[in-house]
Amino acid sequence: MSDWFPLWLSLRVSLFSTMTAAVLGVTLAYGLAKWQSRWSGIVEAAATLPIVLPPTVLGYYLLTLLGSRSPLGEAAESVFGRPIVFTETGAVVAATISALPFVVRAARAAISNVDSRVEESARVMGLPEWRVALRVTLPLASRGVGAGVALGFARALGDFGATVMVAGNIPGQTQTLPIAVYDAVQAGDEATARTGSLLLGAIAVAVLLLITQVFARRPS
Amino acid sequence: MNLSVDIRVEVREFGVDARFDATPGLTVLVGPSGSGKSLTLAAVAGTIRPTRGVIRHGDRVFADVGRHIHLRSQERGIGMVFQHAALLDHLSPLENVMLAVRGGKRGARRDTASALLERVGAARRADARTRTLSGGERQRVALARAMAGSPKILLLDEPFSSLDAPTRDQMRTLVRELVDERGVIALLVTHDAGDVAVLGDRVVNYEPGRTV
Repeated sequence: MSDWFPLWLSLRVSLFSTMTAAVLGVTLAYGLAKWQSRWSGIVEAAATLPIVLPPTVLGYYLLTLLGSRSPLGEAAESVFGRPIVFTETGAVVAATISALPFVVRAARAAISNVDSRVEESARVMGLPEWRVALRVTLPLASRGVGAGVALGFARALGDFGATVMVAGNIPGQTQTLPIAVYDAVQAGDEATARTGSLLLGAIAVAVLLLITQVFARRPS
Repeated sequence: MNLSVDIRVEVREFGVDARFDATPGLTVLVGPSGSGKSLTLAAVAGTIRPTRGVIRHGDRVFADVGRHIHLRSQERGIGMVFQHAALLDHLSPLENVMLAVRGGKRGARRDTASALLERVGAARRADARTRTLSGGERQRVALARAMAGSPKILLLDEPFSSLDAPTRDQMRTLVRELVDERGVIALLVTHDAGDVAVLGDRVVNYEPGRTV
Protein backbone atom coordinates (compact mmCIF):
# COMPACT_ATOMS: atom_id res chain seq x y z
CA MET A 1 0.00 0.00 0.00
CA SER A 2 1.63 3.23 -1.15
CA ASP A 3 -0.59 5.71 0.67
CA TRP A 4 -0.94 5.34 4.45
CA PHE A 5 -3.35 8.23 4.85
CA PRO A 6 -6.49 6.03 5.14
CA LEU A 7 -4.94 4.04 8.01
CA TRP A 8 -3.98 7.13 10.02
CA LEU A 9 -7.34 8.75 9.30
CA SER A 10 -9.16 5.60 10.39
CA LEU A 11 -7.17 5.35 13.61
CA ARG A 12 -7.68 9.05 14.37
CA VAL A 13 -11.39 8.96 13.62
CA SER A 14 -12.03 5.77 15.57
CA LEU A 15 -10.00 7.01 18.55
CA PHE A 16 -11.89 10.32 18.77
CA SER A 17 -15.25 8.69 18.17
CA THR A 18 -14.58 5.95 20.72
CA MET A 19 -13.67 8.52 23.36
CA THR A 20 -16.81 10.52 22.60
CA ALA A 21 -18.98 7.40 22.54
CA ALA A 22 -17.42 6.24 25.82
CA VAL A 23 -18.24 9.48 27.65
CA LEU A 24 -21.74 9.79 26.15
CA GLY A 25 -22.48 6.08 26.35
CA VAL A 26 -21.38 5.56 29.94
CA THR A 27 -23.30 8.64 31.09
CA LEU A 28 -26.41 7.44 29.28
CA ALA A 29 -25.97 3.89 30.57
CA TYR A 30 -25.59 5.16 34.13
CA GLY A 31 -28.81 7.13 33.83
CA LEU A 32 -30.63 4.15 32.32
CA ALA A 33 -29.37 1.78 35.03
CA LYS A 34 -30.19 4.09 37.95
CA TRP A 35 -33.39 5.93 37.02
CA GLN A 36 -36.30 3.92 35.74
CA SER A 37 -38.99 5.99 34.09
CA ARG A 38 -41.44 5.49 31.26
CA TRP A 39 -38.89 7.18 28.99
CA SER A 40 -36.14 4.65 29.80
CA GLY A 41 -37.41 2.12 27.27
CA ILE A 42 -37.65 4.72 24.53
CA VAL A 43 -34.19 6.14 25.24
CA GLU A 44 -32.66 2.67 25.32
CA ALA A 45 -34.37 1.70 22.06
CA ALA A 46 -33.12 4.91 20.43
CA ALA A 47 -29.59 4.22 21.66
CA THR A 48 -29.78 0.69 20.21
CA LEU A 49 -31.16 1.79 16.84
CA PRO A 50 -27.74 2.26 15.18
CA ILE A 51 -27.10 -1.51 15.54
CA VAL A 52 -30.40 -2.40 13.93
CA LEU A 53 -30.51 0.14 11.13
CA PRO A 54 -28.64 -0.61 7.91
CA PRO A 55 -25.50 1.56 8.13
CA THR A 56 -26.32 3.44 4.94
CA VAL A 57 -29.76 4.28 6.29
CA LEU A 58 -28.21 5.49 9.53
CA GLY A 59 -25.82 7.54 7.42
CA TYR A 60 -28.70 8.94 5.40
CA TYR A 61 -30.50 10.11 8.54
CA LEU A 62 -27.32 11.69 9.89
CA LEU A 63 -26.72 13.39 6.55
CA THR A 64 -30.25 14.77 6.63
CA LEU A 65 -29.86 15.88 10.23
CA LEU A 66 -26.43 17.48 9.88
CA GLY A 67 -26.42 18.62 6.23
CA SER A 68 -25.81 22.29 5.45
CA ARG A 69 -29.50 22.88 4.79
CA SER A 70 -30.65 21.46 8.13
CA PRO A 71 -31.02 23.76 11.19
CA LEU A 72 -28.45 21.70 13.12
CA GLY A 73 -25.99 21.70 10.23
CA GLU A 74 -26.43 25.45 9.74
CA ALA A 75 -25.86 26.12 13.43
CA ALA A 76 -22.71 23.96 13.47
CA GLU A 77 -21.41 25.69 10.36
CA SER A 78 -21.90 29.15 11.87
CA VAL A 79 -20.13 28.08 15.07
CA PHE A 80 -17.20 26.15 13.57
CA GLY A 81 -16.98 28.05 10.30
CA ARG A 82 -17.20 24.92 8.18
CA PRO A 83 -19.73 22.19 7.51
CA ILE A 84 -19.84 18.86 9.32
CA VAL A 85 -20.76 16.70 6.37
CA PHE A 86 -18.06 15.57 3.94
CA THR A 87 -15.32 16.39 6.47
CA GLU A 88 -13.32 14.41 9.01
CA THR A 89 -15.70 15.71 11.71
CA GLY A 90 -18.54 14.06 9.80
CA ALA A 91 -16.66 10.77 9.86
CA VAL A 92 -16.17 11.14 13.63
CA VAL A 93 -19.90 11.80 14.12
CA ALA A 94 -20.87 8.78 12.01
CA ALA A 95 -18.42 6.50 13.82
CA THR A 96 -19.49 7.83 17.23
CA ILE A 97 -23.15 7.07 16.57
CA SER A 98 -22.22 3.61 15.22
CA ALA A 99 -20.12 2.82 18.31
CA LEU A 100 -22.55 4.26 20.87
CA PRO A 101 -24.98 1.30 21.19
CA PHE A 102 -22.15 -1.13 21.99
CA VAL A 103 -20.94 1.09 24.83
CA VAL A 104 -24.45 1.78 26.15
CA ARG A 105 -25.60 -1.84 26.18
CA ALA A 106 -22.44 -3.26 27.79
CA ALA A 107 -22.09 -0.43 30.30
CA ARG A 108 -25.74 -0.54 31.28
CA ALA A 109 -25.56 -4.27 32.00
CA ALA A 110 -22.30 -3.89 33.94
CA ILE A 111 -23.58 -0.97 36.01
CA SER A 112 -26.84 -2.80 36.82
CA ASN A 113 -24.81 -5.80 37.99
CA VAL A 114 -22.86 -3.85 40.61
CA ASP A 115 -23.93 -5.03 44.07
CA SER A 116 -26.29 -2.30 45.29
CA ARG A 117 -25.27 -2.99 48.90
CA VAL A 118 -21.76 -1.79 48.14
CA GLU A 119 -23.18 1.43 46.71
CA GLU A 120 -25.48 1.82 49.68
CA SER A 121 -22.63 1.39 52.11
CA ALA A 122 -20.76 4.15 50.26
CA ARG A 123 -23.78 6.44 50.66
CA VAL A 124 -23.99 5.60 54.36
CA MET A 125 -20.29 6.59 54.62
CA GLY A 126 -21.40 10.01 53.43
CA LEU A 127 -20.25 9.91 49.81
CA PRO A 128 -22.30 12.19 47.54
CA GLU A 129 -23.92 10.50 44.54
CA TRP A 130 -21.32 11.66 42.03
CA ARG A 131 -18.51 10.19 44.13
CA VAL A 132 -20.44 6.94 44.56
CA ALA A 133 -20.64 6.81 40.77
CA LEU A 134 -16.98 7.67 40.11
CA ARG A 135 -15.27 5.88 42.99
CA VAL A 136 -17.52 2.85 43.52
CA THR A 137 -19.96 2.00 40.74
CA LEU A 138 -17.88 2.70 37.63
CA PRO A 139 -14.66 1.05 38.88
CA LEU A 140 -16.69 -2.04 39.82
CA ALA A 141 -18.33 -2.00 36.38
CA SER A 142 -15.06 -1.27 34.57
CA ARG A 143 -14.66 -4.69 32.94
CA GLY A 144 -18.04 -4.59 31.27
CA VAL A 145 -17.62 -0.95 30.34
CA GLY A 146 -14.15 -1.70 28.93
CA ALA A 147 -15.48 -4.56 26.82
CA GLY A 148 -18.22 -2.30 25.45
CA VAL A 149 -15.73 0.45 24.63
CA ALA A 150 -13.42 -2.05 22.89
CA LEU A 151 -16.33 -3.35 20.80
CA GLY A 152 -17.32 0.23 20.05
CA PHE A 153 -13.77 0.94 18.86
CA ALA A 154 -13.86 -2.06 16.55
CA ARG A 155 -17.22 -0.94 15.19
CA ALA A 156 -16.01 2.65 14.71
CA LEU A 157 -12.86 1.46 12.94
CA GLY A 158 -14.78 -0.81 10.63
CA ASP A 159 -17.67 1.49 9.79
CA PHE A 160 -18.28 1.84 6.09
CA GLY A 161 -21.90 2.65 5.31
CA ALA A 162 -22.62 5.49 7.71
CA THR A 163 -19.19 7.07 7.19
CA VAL A 164 -19.37 7.03 3.40
CA MET A 165 -22.80 8.68 3.54
CA VAL A 166 -21.88 11.43 6.00
CA ALA A 167 -18.21 12.06 5.19
CA GLY A 168 -18.08 10.88 1.60
CA ASN A 169 -15.15 9.23 -0.11
CA ILE A 170 -12.62 11.97 -0.69
CA PRO A 171 -9.10 10.52 -1.01
CA GLY A 172 -6.67 12.30 1.30
CA GLN A 173 -9.51 13.91 3.23
CA THR A 174 -12.31 11.59 4.31
CA GLN A 175 -11.34 8.25 2.81
CA THR A 176 -11.02 5.87 5.78
CA LEU A 177 -9.39 2.46 5.48
CA PRO A 178 -12.59 0.39 4.93
CA ILE A 179 -13.59 2.84 2.17
CA ALA A 180 -10.08 2.70 0.68
CA VAL A 181 -10.36 -1.11 0.54
CA TYR A 182 -13.67 -0.83 -1.32
CA ASP A 183 -12.14 1.74 -3.71
CA ALA A 184 -9.10 -0.45 -4.31
CA VAL A 185 -11.27 -3.45 -5.18
CA GLN A 186 -13.31 -1.33 -7.58
CA ALA A 187 -10.10 -0.11 -9.23
CA GLY A 188 -8.62 -3.60 -9.41
CA ASP A 189 -5.77 -2.63 -7.05
CA GLU A 190 -5.36 -6.05 -5.40
CA ALA A 191 -2.29 -5.14 -3.34
CA THR A 192 -3.92 -2.18 -1.57
CA ALA A 193 -7.13 -4.12 -0.96
CA ARG A 194 -5.17 -7.02 0.52
CA THR A 195 -2.98 -4.85 2.78
CA GLY A 196 -5.94 -2.78 4.00
CA SER A 197 -8.00 -5.88 4.73
CA LEU A 198 -5.12 -7.55 6.57
CA LEU A 199 -4.60 -4.46 8.73
CA LEU A 200 -8.29 -4.15 9.56
CA GLY A 201 -8.52 -7.88 10.24
CA ALA A 202 -5.49 -7.79 12.53
CA ILE A 203 -6.86 -4.87 14.54
CA ALA A 204 -10.24 -6.63 14.86
CA VAL A 205 -8.60 -9.82 16.15
CA ALA A 206 -6.50 -7.76 18.59
CA VAL A 207 -9.64 -6.10 19.95
CA LEU A 208 -11.34 -9.48 20.29
CA LEU A 209 -8.34 -10.85 22.19
CA LEU A 210 -8.38 -7.80 24.44
CA ILE A 211 -12.05 -8.39 25.25
CA THR A 212 -11.77 -12.11 25.89
CA GLN A 213 -8.42 -12.06 27.70
CA VAL A 214 -8.60 -8.85 29.70
CA PHE A 215 -12.15 -7.63 30.17
CA ALA A 216 -14.05 -10.91 30.27
CA ARG A 217 -11.67 -12.64 32.67
CA ARG A 218 -12.87 -13.01 36.24
CA PRO A 219 -10.80 -11.17 38.83
CA SER A 220 -8.44 -13.62 40.49
CA MET B 1 -28.27 12.28 72.63
CA ASN B 2 -30.40 9.21 72.18
CA LEU B 3 -31.42 7.34 69.09
CA SER B 4 -35.09 6.56 69.21
CA VAL B 5 -36.61 4.06 66.83
CA ASP B 6 -40.32 3.38 66.54
CA ILE B 7 -41.07 2.09 63.06
CA ARG B 8 -42.59 -0.54 60.86
CA VAL B 9 -40.54 -1.69 57.89
CA GLU B 10 -41.94 -3.87 55.12
CA VAL B 11 -40.07 -5.59 52.33
CA ARG B 12 -42.26 -7.71 50.06
CA GLU B 13 -44.27 -10.07 52.30
CA PHE B 14 -42.10 -9.54 55.35
CA GLY B 15 -42.62 -6.80 57.91
CA VAL B 16 -41.04 -5.88 61.23
CA ASP B 17 -42.20 -3.58 64.02
CA ALA B 18 -39.20 -2.22 65.88
CA ARG B 19 -39.33 -0.02 68.93
CA PHE B 20 -36.38 0.86 71.16
CA ASP B 21 -34.15 3.67 72.41
CA ALA B 22 -30.36 3.54 72.28
CA THR B 23 -27.94 5.72 74.25
CA PRO B 24 -24.20 6.19 73.65
CA GLY B 25 -22.54 2.81 74.14
CA LEU B 26 -23.43 -0.61 72.80
CA THR B 27 -26.95 -1.82 72.20
CA VAL B 28 -27.23 -5.37 70.93
CA LEU B 29 -30.17 -6.36 68.72
CA VAL B 30 -30.55 -10.09 69.12
CA GLY B 31 -32.96 -12.66 67.76
CA PRO B 32 -33.31 -15.49 65.26
CA SER B 33 -32.38 -15.05 61.59
CA GLY B 34 -35.13 -13.39 59.64
CA SER B 35 -36.64 -11.58 62.61
CA GLY B 36 -36.00 -8.17 61.02
CA LYS B 37 -32.86 -6.97 62.82
CA SER B 38 -30.93 -6.10 59.68
CA LEU B 39 -34.00 -4.42 58.19
CA THR B 40 -34.12 -2.18 61.24
CA LEU B 41 -30.47 -1.24 60.71
CA ALA B 42 -31.12 -0.51 57.03
CA ALA B 43 -33.95 1.82 58.02
CA VAL B 44 -31.70 3.62 60.52
CA ALA B 45 -29.01 3.87 57.82
CA GLY B 46 -31.58 5.27 55.40
CA THR B 47 -31.12 2.66 52.70
CA ILE B 48 -34.76 1.62 53.01
CA ARG B 49 -37.79 3.64 54.04
CA PRO B 50 -40.01 2.62 56.92
CA THR B 51 -43.70 2.31 56.11
CA ARG B 52 -44.75 3.77 59.44
CA GLY B 53 -43.21 5.61 62.37
CA VAL B 54 -40.31 7.83 63.33
CA ILE B 55 -36.54 7.53 63.70
CA ARG B 56 -34.99 10.36 65.67
CA HIS B 57 -31.45 11.11 66.82
CA GLY B 58 -31.61 13.77 69.51
CA ASP B 59 -33.63 16.53 67.91
CA ARG B 60 -32.76 15.47 64.37
CA VAL B 61 -35.50 13.54 62.63
CA PHE B 62 -34.01 10.86 60.33
CA ALA B 63 -37.37 9.63 59.15
CA ASP B 64 -40.96 10.49 59.90
CA VAL B 65 -43.38 8.72 57.62
CA GLY B 66 -46.38 10.82 58.74
CA ARG B 67 -44.58 14.06 57.87
CA HIS B 68 -42.93 12.62 54.72
CA ILE B 69 -39.44 13.18 56.11
CA HIS B 70 -36.65 10.91 54.90
CA LEU B 71 -33.15 12.18 55.48
CA ARG B 72 -30.67 10.85 52.92
CA SER B 73 -28.11 8.30 54.17
CA GLN B 74 -25.31 10.81 53.54
CA GLU B 75 -26.81 13.31 55.97
CA ARG B 76 -27.34 10.99 58.92
CA GLY B 77 -23.77 10.85 60.24
CA ILE B 78 -23.58 7.08 60.33
CA GLY B 79 -20.79 4.52 60.09
CA MET B 80 -21.62 0.95 59.15
CA VAL B 81 -19.91 -2.44 59.12
CA PHE B 82 -21.45 -5.41 57.34
CA GLN B 83 -21.11 -9.14 57.88
CA HIS B 84 -19.00 -9.46 54.75
CA ALA B 85 -17.01 -6.23 54.85
CA ALA B 86 -18.10 -4.30 51.80
CA LEU B 87 -14.55 -3.11 51.12
CA LEU B 88 -13.73 -1.91 47.62
CA ASP B 89 -11.17 -4.31 46.20
CA HIS B 90 -10.00 -1.82 43.57
CA LEU B 91 -8.76 0.49 46.33
CA SER B 92 -6.07 -0.21 48.94
CA PRO B 93 -7.18 -0.53 52.58
CA LEU B 94 -5.85 2.99 53.21
CA GLU B 95 -7.80 4.38 50.22
CA ASN B 96 -10.92 2.59 51.44
CA VAL B 97 -10.68 4.42 54.74
CA MET B 98 -9.72 7.74 53.10
CA LEU B 99 -12.85 7.58 50.99
CA ALA B 100 -14.98 7.87 54.11
CA VAL B 101 -13.04 10.73 55.74
CA ARG B 102 -15.14 13.84 55.30
CA GLY B 103 -13.70 17.14 54.11
CA GLY B 104 -10.11 18.32 54.33
CA LYS B 105 -7.19 18.10 51.91
CA ARG B 106 -5.92 14.78 50.61
CA GLY B 107 -2.88 14.83 52.91
CA ALA B 108 -5.03 15.45 55.97
CA ARG B 109 -7.45 12.72 54.97
CA ARG B 110 -4.54 10.35 54.50
CA ASP B 111 -3.26 11.16 58.01
CA THR B 112 -6.68 10.60 59.53
CA ALA B 113 -7.06 7.29 57.69
CA SER B 114 -3.57 6.13 58.67
CA ALA B 115 -4.22 6.95 62.32
CA LEU B 116 -7.46 4.97 62.22
CA LEU B 117 -5.78 1.95 60.63
CA GLU B 118 -3.12 2.18 63.31
CA ARG B 119 -5.84 2.28 65.96
CA VAL B 120 -7.57 -0.86 64.69
CA GLY B 121 -4.26 -2.69 64.30
CA ALA B 122 -4.24 -2.84 60.49
CA ALA B 123 -1.58 -0.21 59.72
CA ARG B 124 0.82 -2.90 58.53
CA ARG B 125 -1.60 -3.76 55.71
CA ALA B 126 -2.50 -0.18 54.75
CA ASP B 127 -1.10 -0.45 51.23
CA ALA B 128 -1.70 -4.15 50.64
CA ARG B 129 -3.98 -5.43 47.88
CA THR B 130 -7.36 -5.43 49.58
CA ARG B 131 -8.23 -8.76 47.99
CA THR B 132 -5.39 -10.43 49.90
CA LEU B 133 -6.62 -9.38 53.37
CA SER B 134 -7.79 -12.08 55.79
CA GLY B 135 -11.35 -12.01 57.14
CA GLY B 136 -10.23 -10.43 60.40
CA GLU B 137 -8.11 -7.81 58.62
CA ARG B 138 -11.01 -6.92 56.36
CA GLN B 139 -13.27 -6.35 59.36
CA ARG B 140 -10.62 -4.20 61.05
CA VAL B 141 -10.32 -2.04 57.94
CA ALA B 142 -14.13 -1.92 57.64
CA LEU B 143 -14.32 -0.76 61.25
CA ALA B 144 -11.70 1.95 60.61
CA ARG B 145 -13.68 3.04 57.55
CA ALA B 146 -16.92 3.14 59.50
CA MET B 147 -15.30 5.45 62.06
CA ALA B 148 -13.60 7.63 59.43
CA GLY B 149 -16.50 10.01 58.95
CA SER B 150 -16.59 10.70 62.73
CA PRO B 151 -20.08 9.21 62.96
CA LYS B 152 -22.36 9.69 65.93
CA ILE B 153 -23.98 6.34 65.23
CA LEU B 154 -22.21 3.09 64.40
CA LEU B 155 -24.21 0.24 62.86
CA LEU B 156 -22.69 -3.25 63.00
CA ASP B 157 -24.53 -5.94 61.04
CA GLU B 158 -23.21 -9.31 62.25
CA PRO B 159 -19.62 -8.09 61.86
CA PHE B 160 -18.05 -11.07 63.64
CA SER B 161 -20.05 -13.96 62.24
CA SER B 162 -17.57 -14.96 59.53
CA LEU B 163 -14.51 -14.82 61.82
CA ASP B 164 -12.79 -17.61 63.74
CA ALA B 165 -13.11 -17.62 67.53
CA PRO B 166 -9.80 -15.94 68.52
CA THR B 167 -10.23 -13.20 65.91
CA ARG B 168 -13.82 -12.71 67.04
CA ASP B 169 -12.65 -12.14 70.63
CA GLN B 170 -10.10 -9.55 69.49
CA MET B 171 -12.69 -7.76 67.36
CA ARG B 172 -15.19 -7.68 70.22
CA THR B 173 -12.59 -6.02 72.44
CA LEU B 174 -11.70 -3.56 69.70
CA VAL B 175 -15.34 -2.62 69.07
CA ARG B 176 -15.98 -2.10 72.77
CA GLU B 177 -12.87 0.13 73.11
CA LEU B 178 -13.71 2.21 70.04
CA VAL B 179 -17.32 2.71 71.05
CA ASP B 180 -16.29 3.86 74.53
CA GLU B 181 -13.47 6.06 73.22
CA ARG B 182 -15.60 7.88 70.69
CA GLY B 183 -18.83 7.99 72.62
CA VAL B 184 -20.91 6.75 69.71
CA ILE B 185 -24.28 5.04 69.80
CA ALA B 186 -23.54 1.55 68.48
CA LEU B 187 -26.22 -0.89 67.33
CA LEU B 188 -24.91 -4.42 66.94
CA VAL B 189 -27.03 -7.01 65.16
CA THR B 190 -26.23 -10.60 66.08
CA HIS B 191 -27.69 -14.02 66.73
CA ASP B 192 -24.59 -15.13 68.61
CA ALA B 193 -25.10 -15.56 72.37
CA GLY B 194 -21.38 -14.86 72.83
CA ASP B 195 -21.77 -11.34 71.46
CA VAL B 196 -24.65 -10.72 73.84
CA ALA B 197 -22.65 -12.01 76.80
CA VAL B 198 -19.61 -9.85 76.06
CA LEU B 199 -21.10 -6.75 74.49
CA GLY B 200 -24.74 -6.72 75.51
CA ASP B 201 -24.80 -3.82 77.96
CA ARG B 202 -28.26 -3.19 76.65
CA VAL B 203 -30.19 -5.78 74.69
CA VAL B 204 -33.14 -5.44 72.36
CA ASN B 205 -34.76 -8.82 71.77
CA TYR B 206 -36.40 -9.67 68.47
CA GLU B 207 -38.91 -12.37 67.73
CA PRO B 208 -40.00 -12.90 64.14
CA GLY B 209 -41.49 -9.62 62.96
CA ARG B 210 -41.14 -7.49 66.08
CA THR B 211 -39.11 -6.34 69.05
CA VAL B 212 -40.21 -7.54 72.47
